Amino acid sequence: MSKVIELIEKLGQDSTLEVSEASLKEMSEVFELSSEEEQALILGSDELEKIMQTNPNIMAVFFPAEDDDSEGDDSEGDDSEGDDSDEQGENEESKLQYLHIA
Amino acid sequence: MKLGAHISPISRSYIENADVVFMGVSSGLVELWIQEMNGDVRSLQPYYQEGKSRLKTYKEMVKVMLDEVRKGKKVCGAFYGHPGVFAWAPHKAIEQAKAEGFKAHMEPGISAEDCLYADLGIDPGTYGCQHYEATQFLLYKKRIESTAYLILWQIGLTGDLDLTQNNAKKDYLEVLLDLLVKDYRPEHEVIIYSASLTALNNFSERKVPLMSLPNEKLSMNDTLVIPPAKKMLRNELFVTKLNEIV
Repeated sequence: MSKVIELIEKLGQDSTLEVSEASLKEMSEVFELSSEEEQALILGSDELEKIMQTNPNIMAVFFPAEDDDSEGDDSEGDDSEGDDSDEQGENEESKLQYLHIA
Repeated sequence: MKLGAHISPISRSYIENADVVFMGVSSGLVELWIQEMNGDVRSLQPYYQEGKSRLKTYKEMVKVMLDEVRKGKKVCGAFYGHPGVFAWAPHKAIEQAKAEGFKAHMEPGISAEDCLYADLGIDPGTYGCQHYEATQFLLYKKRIESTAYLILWQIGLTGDLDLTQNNAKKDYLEVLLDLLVKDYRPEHEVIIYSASLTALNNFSERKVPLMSLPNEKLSMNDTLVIPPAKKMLRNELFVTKLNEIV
């Protein structure tokens, strides 16, 4: 795991850790972060995302979309089912596989 | 919602033990974090596109997950917050997987709603609480109960039907204001809330008068909380009826 991500994860899980400039500097040393990473850490998530070159256009939106049905077209889904029918048919074990949403 | 803090042990286990993980999460840092948990993590972000129908995007998300399930793989869809709240695609994926004979289930998660109650000190049981997605609230006739909290989610995307703007336009918010002032005074204090995504940042809470809403800078993560404007009135008719039973 990247050291920076590991540190942020730990900050989210350890109630004894304080989020302050001094403690972040101290933890940066323990986690052997670069000075650039340490500085970004102190400035916050936005700055950290910049230096870690994460996806800048994250969309975090989910709508109740049922009423868009009129514009929708289920044919894509139907086609895909058709494409995979052989795989499903030849191997009943596939039915034992899971879909987990977490 | 908060990286590291709010993932349940069982959800993490599903992510770590899946053959393939599809993620729809709220920040780039969270994407990096999830990628560390499994060797085959695929972002659902590319399916969002400006000007594209929401439903088309969600159908593509469902299809890409189901395609892997049909190949016999153990698939995990990892979504931010509670995967079943304001989330058509996860519900549809499970429904479709089950319809095709596969085992599928959803693990609950800690959502922005849960964070909101904790951060703002609101108990939804005190006065009651109505929740709507902001755009849906505008598009459909709803009965506003102003003795309860009214919470409008994704206020920063009000009126945005196809993700073309990414920020609520002032004109759209003016329309929303027109609707709200039928039940609330323009000076009524409302809260613009945003949950914290990592331990590095605190949650955000801005208290403003309702009438200033169109002028507020809103982000995708903002939620509008409208506290009760009227006192609850006892329903004496039914109180009497209950007393008569006793």
